[in-house]
Amino acid sequence: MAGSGGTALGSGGGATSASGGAASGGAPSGGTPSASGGAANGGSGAAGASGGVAGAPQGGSGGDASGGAGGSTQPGDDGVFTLNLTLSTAIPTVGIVTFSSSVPIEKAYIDFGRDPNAFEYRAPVDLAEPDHRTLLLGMKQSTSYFVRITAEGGGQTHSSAVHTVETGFLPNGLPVMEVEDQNASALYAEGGFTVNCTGVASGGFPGGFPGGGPGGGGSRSFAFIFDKDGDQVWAYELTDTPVAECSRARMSLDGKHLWVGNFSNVSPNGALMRVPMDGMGAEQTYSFGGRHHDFGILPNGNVLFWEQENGGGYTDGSEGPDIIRELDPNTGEATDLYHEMTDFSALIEEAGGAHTNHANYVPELEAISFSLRHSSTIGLISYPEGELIAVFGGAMTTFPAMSWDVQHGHHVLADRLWVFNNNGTNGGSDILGFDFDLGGMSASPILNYSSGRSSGAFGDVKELPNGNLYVTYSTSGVIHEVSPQGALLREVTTSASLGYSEHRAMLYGPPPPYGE
Amino acid sequence: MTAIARPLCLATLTLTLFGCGPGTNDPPAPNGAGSGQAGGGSGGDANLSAGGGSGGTNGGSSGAPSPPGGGSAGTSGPVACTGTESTVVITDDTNYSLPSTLTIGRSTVRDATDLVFDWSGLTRDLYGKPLNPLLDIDMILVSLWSMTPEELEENLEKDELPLSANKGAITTYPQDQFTSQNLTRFDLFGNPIPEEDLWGYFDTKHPKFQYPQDQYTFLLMASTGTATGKGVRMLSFFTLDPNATETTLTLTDTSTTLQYSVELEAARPVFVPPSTPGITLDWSQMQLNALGNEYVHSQITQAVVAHYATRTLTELETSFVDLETLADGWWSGEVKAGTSIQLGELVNASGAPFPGITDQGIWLVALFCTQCNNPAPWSITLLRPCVSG
Repeated sequence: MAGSGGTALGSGGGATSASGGAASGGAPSGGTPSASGGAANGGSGAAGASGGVAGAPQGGSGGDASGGAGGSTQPGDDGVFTLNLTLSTAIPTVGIVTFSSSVPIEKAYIDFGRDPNAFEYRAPVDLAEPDHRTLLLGMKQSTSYFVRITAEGGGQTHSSAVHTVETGFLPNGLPVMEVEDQNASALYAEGGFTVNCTGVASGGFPGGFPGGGPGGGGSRSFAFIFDKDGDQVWAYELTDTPVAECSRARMSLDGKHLWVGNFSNVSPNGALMRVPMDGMGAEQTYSFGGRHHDFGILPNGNVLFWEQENGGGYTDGSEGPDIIRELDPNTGEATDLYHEMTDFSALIEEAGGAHTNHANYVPELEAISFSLRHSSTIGLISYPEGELIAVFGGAMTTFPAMSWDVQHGHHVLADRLWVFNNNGTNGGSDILGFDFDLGGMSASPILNYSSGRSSGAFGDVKELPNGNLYVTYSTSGVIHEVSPQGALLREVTTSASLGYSEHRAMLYGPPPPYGE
Repeated sequence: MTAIARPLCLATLTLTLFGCGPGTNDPPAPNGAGSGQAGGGSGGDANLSAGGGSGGTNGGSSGAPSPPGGGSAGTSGPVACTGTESTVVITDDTNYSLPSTLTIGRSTVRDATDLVFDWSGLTRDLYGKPLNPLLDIDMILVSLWSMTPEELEENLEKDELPLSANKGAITTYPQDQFTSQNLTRFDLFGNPIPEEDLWGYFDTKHPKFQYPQDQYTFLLMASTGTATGKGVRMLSFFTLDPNATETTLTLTDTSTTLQYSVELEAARPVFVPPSTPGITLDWSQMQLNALGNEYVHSQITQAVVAHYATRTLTELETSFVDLETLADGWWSGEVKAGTSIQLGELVNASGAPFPGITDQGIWLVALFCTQCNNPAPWSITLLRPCVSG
């Protein structure tokens, strides 16, 4: 369906082009490639406020980043690489590696970690990038890391010497995450990474306001990523941006950007913004006044979002329906995918509005699921056709076994549904799980996880690749990772209200739900 | 600082530290930390002239014995500069302390009732500062917590109220139009609330009610400004009871009492060369803040240097809430990242940079967590001039 375009307020310049396709897959994190290249290179650089960089170029060229001290070339390198290792000037926990080689390369990757004998992460190198520019993502603040390039070509494998870099400090005032494990060995990806943001509390909703104590209050907002230890490894301040009231931050399909959306609850101030993962270069902002709550990533790299039909606000006391739309970030144009009045008019009119608050792309079904808060309903439509497939919960439910009172986040799989039921039991919010059969139109409950934790608004649940559930009690700043049987594995708490979470094993490759 | 001996001055500063606690929209200053009636001690004017001041203690002094050359309040004799003062590392013994006691009023009101919240009788806030209930109260917030009143009070006092215990909140914004409001006219941060949703929290017999009132407590807050959790002027607790007859919740000047004692004199001062702005203050070694909680280094977001030409430490302790207005010089700056800041980067209201301390008056440097709801500085360190050899 043709639709009106949004206003792309892209400021241009410096934005990374979106490839729209899946990024090259990342190598598994962790593990210890055969240690070669000898000891860490010298030169740790000054760890000032912006961090320092060690550089030890191989073969002579490749200068130091500003603020860093150069090191010496280590023996053991085969002289193939000319490397430059710096830190982002915007996000000093992001390393930037550029290199050239004296031999043809068919594939390359960069291992990095705090122990040169046990690298923690592997960054895939996109050979199409100028100078093979590769970001090192996931590093902790004010910490020394060891870095090594490995390239394959012509039947040979070449590894650089090990270089060092010392990261700088992220902004002060970030939320502090407290981690308490019940069964760390059962965690997905040993704890993985979580993408989230603060700022949603300023928009107001029940139970959501800045908590006391470190990182909890204040009017500043950030998009951030914390690692398996609860340590912040990436942060970008949103305070003076159109998306300061952040309710969702998630990585792009190609992993090169972070997308951020503001809450803009029943208001005409909706916007989306994307920033490159190195934080450098201009932000790109897309203004869609009636856009609100959340957004998703489509398999073509476009952004799934929705707008109130009335442009944002109340019309005769009703929020009215939403129109589900697709944004092409390259053009800034949005097309309509589905008008909720097509199949849900009675529900929306009776409930005083749709209040769509969460949506996902469902790869297994090539569909889009979307949550209608006011009617406690989740719709499922085909993509891109926009034809109704099923209704979960509410008065129109296709499956009588599915019923709850108010939901936000959810996860639809081929034959399974998880729902974050805000008004649950036990004084809190519940996670409801159902098996369902689309063909037979039958469903049965499989789990009710009722921890007593609550989120008056927002809140999410996602099934992880190993079957665990990742539960975000947004307004109360609590995150649970839960076994498929409903056993608590880890609790993360903070003093700030959060948006929706994106939880992933590594910071490379396509984001959930596209598999890792 | 001597023992607290003044009636009414056993104001232990209420570190109104709520999960949604008080604070200010503007960068917090010491005078925003709450006054009540400062429990000032009278232990000798710890003026900074050599030999001055006896530096008495006041229950719970945090001062550690001063190392040689360090000096505590009232140290005698000049201290020579060592040439290493370009970086000053503060530690817990250089910090002031702020012991406090919080007493929050409690009411029991009838459930399933369109309760009335009334703040018309407020003339002073919990810090003792005058307020106009019509003009100064910009937001009334009612929140529900999974704690008893005793637990909630204790957590607030310790500044350790976990957001995870919160179960919801509603608001109303008077906009200078009213000083009381009915429950059913509250909203959700400006958005209308279906009345049916309200009764799930305020009607103990409602099928959605899940908050036994022996386990949950409502917190009522009146604030200046509309930043949630900031600028709190008064608060109280309430619970619901179908057998109660009271249907109005009234905030008064005594709904919460604040008792605090400020202990500046016991802090070990640090010595720096005078007229030297290029001093780096490093807090990476701090373990505890003035509230006795963990000093999370990454949470310091503002630094201030203040100068008091003629005040004594005792006067400053007594007028703790007015430290900014009393200052003869005030240089502040944002701490963007890290665990140190060069004091020369701080500027006054005119944009002039901090010029370095002099040998006159009292100089102090304060560090704030502006993202926290408690506006009290996490540390205050006295700066004194060393003498160049």
